[in-house]
Amino acid sequence: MIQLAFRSLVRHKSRLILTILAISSSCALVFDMFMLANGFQKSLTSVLENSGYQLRLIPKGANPLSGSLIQQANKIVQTIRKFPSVENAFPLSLGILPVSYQKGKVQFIEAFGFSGKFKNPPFYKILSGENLSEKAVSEKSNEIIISRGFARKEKLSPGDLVKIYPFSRGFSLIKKPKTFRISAVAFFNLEGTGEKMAALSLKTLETLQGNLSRDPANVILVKVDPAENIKEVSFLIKKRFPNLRIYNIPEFVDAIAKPVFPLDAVSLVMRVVASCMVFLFLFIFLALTVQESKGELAGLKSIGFQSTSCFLIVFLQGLLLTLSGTMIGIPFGYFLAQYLNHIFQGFPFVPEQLHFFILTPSSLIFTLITLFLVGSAAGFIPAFQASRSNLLQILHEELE
Amino acid sequence: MLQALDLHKTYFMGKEEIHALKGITFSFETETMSAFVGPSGSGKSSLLHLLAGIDLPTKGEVHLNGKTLSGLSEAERTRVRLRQIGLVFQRFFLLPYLTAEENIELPLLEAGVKRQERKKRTRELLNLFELENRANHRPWQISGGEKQRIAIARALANNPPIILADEPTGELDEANTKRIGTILKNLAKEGKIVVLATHNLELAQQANQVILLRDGKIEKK
Repeated sequence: MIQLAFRSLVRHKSRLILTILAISSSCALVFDMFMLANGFQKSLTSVLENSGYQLRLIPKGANPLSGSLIQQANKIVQTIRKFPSVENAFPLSLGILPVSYQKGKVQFIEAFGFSGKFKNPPFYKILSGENLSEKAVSEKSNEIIISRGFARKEKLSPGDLVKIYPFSRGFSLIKKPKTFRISAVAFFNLEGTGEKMAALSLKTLETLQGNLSRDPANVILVKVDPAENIKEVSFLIKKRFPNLRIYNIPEFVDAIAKPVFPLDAVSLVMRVVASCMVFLFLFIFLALTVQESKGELAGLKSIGFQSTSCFLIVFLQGLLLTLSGTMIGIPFGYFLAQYLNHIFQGFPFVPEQLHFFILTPSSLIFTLITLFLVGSAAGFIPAFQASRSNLLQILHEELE
Repeated sequence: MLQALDLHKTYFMGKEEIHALKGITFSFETETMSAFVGPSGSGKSSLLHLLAGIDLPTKGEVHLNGKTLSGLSEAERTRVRLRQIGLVFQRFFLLPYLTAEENIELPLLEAGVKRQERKKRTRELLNLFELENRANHRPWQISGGEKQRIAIARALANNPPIILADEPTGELDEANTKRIGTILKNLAKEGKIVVLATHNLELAQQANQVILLRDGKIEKK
């Protein structure tokens, strides 16, 4: 029966090729949208997991992206570090600083301020130069680390000097800049293409920002012993510091990714549109085929072909078309996703390490299930019409 | 074996009633070729459709091997056509995208016959109807006479005891008409019931019995 369906399908070659091309384009879009649905969140999760710090603490009731401050952050960190299940913890702040260098004009950079004891902070990797010394991290210092993109764009290297303009209260710039020495160039985990980033001690950053509140930080990162239960540690911290909201990585990703990049919603809309297109292409092709094959169907029924056989011949054509479209659409969709990923990563402030389209077994399986269901639905009505065609009426029409 | 008992068929065209058949009673014997002749609208095709179980009588019955066709479901009647009735039409109804060999194979495919047996039976039929050199041709590559021979071969694929042919030579020339007539007559000689509806008197003359239908009734045998 499948051979019969195939032979019927390939008789109008140009129509078939055009339909397969149309279906495969829509299949590619369905596949891409499944890859997009959770791609960004999975990618962000993976980057955050690679840092090794599983918990993020921010002030209760604050949005993780609002930049609200935790007061007495270092004191909290010291307490948390004493928890037996906690391997490490450190406070982190993010600020915007005006910088000038080599007689250049003032530009703004994103700056991470941190403190704590560790060999390598989890949010950057040194590419050249030397990491900030323990003293430089814990105290005010004139050493900074800059991002790779920043260094490349402005041709800066370790040992070069930059001037940073401190903020005073009320956000007016102080005229007299402070000079900083670049101690290293690093790759920042969430660094966008050509994005200008820097890392320096928390105390230095807060002073430069004119922050008068005592010992502040935007977030505290906590590294839990892998052998321990993260939920239990989270519960203990929550109990000890009820004014802090504790996020594990999935919660944190949900909280920051969904409002900023509602890609799952976009993906759902596009998936529905693409699936409708697959349905329409298939339905039109098959409905046309059934309309043109009335005489053939009459012939088959008259020689003893059951209605179910006639149904199968048309229905299988729908599935074969879907299969062909899928076989072309999946690789096409994959390469298209890579290309789109490349474009998206080139957008300003989009971290290089983040991917928008991620190929996972589930994205592939859901694509195949969706296309199978759409193919079956689109084939069902024409196949049903073929099976219910009135043989006698067709015989009369054919003879007229 | 095949009997028509007081067959009536009425069609409705809006409010108008058209009585295509008005009480046809007839027994079809094996080894006999019966030809129904008559003008257009006399009820020849309607009778064949009832005998084949394609249509159901308004009144009366068709008996086939003791079974009443009208008592069977559509699926059962289709199964009867597959196994016991070979149908031949004026328009051939060959699938244009299949070769002659594949077209003949179709009823065997539906009957679930194994591939090897299908091929063997198809080859036999191609030889019987002198179509070996047309086996791999598509319907549009061959003549009308050859197409009808393929259609008859297809009707015989499952070796049914009954052959019903509706205007089998309607689109054929004189030579091919004669050839098809001989084939059908030979099938009757081999023990089959052959019933045909035709306008063609030359073809009808080859039948063992000719029945004149007029206005839905048997006028003359």
